[in-house]
Amino acid sequence: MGQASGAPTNGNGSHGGSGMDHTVSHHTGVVAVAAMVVALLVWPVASEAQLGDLTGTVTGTTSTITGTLLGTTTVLAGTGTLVAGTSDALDASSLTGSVGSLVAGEVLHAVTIGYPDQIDSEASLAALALNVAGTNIGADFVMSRALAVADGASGVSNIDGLAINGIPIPVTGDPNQTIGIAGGVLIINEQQVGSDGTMMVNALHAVVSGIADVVVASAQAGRSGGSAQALRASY
Amino acid sequence: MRKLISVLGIAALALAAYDPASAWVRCDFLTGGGFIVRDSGAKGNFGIGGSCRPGGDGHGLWGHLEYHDHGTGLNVHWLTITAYVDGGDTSTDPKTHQPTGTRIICGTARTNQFGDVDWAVKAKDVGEPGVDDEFVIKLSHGPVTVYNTLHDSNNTLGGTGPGGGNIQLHKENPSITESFTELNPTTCPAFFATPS
Repeated sequence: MGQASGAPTNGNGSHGGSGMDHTVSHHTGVVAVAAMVVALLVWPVASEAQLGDLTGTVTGTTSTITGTLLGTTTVLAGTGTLVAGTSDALDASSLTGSVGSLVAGEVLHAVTIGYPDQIDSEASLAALALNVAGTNIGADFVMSRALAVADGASGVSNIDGLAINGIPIPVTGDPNQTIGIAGGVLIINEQQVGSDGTMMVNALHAVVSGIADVVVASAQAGRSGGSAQALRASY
Repeated sequence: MRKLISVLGIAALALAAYDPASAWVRCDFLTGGGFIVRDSGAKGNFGIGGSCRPGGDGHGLWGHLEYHDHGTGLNVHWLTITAYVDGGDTSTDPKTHQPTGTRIICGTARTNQFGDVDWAVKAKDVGEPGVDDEFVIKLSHGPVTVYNTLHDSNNTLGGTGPGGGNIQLHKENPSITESFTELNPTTCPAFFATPS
């Protein structure tokens, strides 16, 4: 394993350098004190708008769950669930991932970040290659994001280069765009809102009855908590 | 004389209020995924995350990096996060009311072409829909650069070029008590590596 080149040096602010031609900002103590004062003023409001009362987290990265209706469910780059109202962050990533010959992708990435009054969840992967019941579904890049705040939740998907059997598929951007495929459907930017207002966004969801159920880039945020999965396949 | 004492008194109070040790800045998170298109025409796919918060499990700070250059076949898989630096440009997206800005994330990684390397990523969130966000990655062996996308003609995720994806700066999180990392050759060797 490689070694860290140096322990992080925490400091109040940072300094510019020539290496990547960046300008790096410098925070003054006054700004810091002001930020703290603002934070203290805002804190009670945030506390009143908490998404949940429970604390604690469950973490995870890759798991296989057997016993589903389709036999086996595999999750690649999954964060596990972050309880609503928890100030914490979970992440998972992988250079590549595949489930047999069913589905493969690269640079898998999943994050969920919790605040007293907000949850941000995000999942993505690139170079998607999904082959389900003879239908080839590919995409250059797939991402979903879910954001929950005290007064509601929202979701969005980013999909580049989507194609089915080599034919480009226009993505409308509307929630729950549905495309028929052999024996099933492909749902693009699938958005489901739970009874408690929790938003679930699946950038792509391919279902072929009795064969496979594959979700690509899934993000959840709301009172049910936060979670993200780059890939989930039941087969 | 009394006036001088008053001034000194006010100055003393100001100094007492500003204790550098306690005047920390609450830190944030940056996350994102997408692809840049290198000048060769090949895609560089990435997933990135970073924060000042400790990451646990001996990985340094919280975060990750996965990167694949389809032109050269380079794979990069993170091992540690050594720095999370405020790169400036901090603002607020008027559309989403979420923060925007630039962060520099550094660490070590294992590659299939250069062995273990130091890396630095500049990730810029310009706001939604993310097409103008930017991603730059630089790899080094200590002070010597071995890979760099900085000088490509386009580093955006599609705004003025053919890239894609989205980078998101998340608001300050009360779970973080650490400040941004000081950027120096110890915390981020790749940033200072030459040639730049």
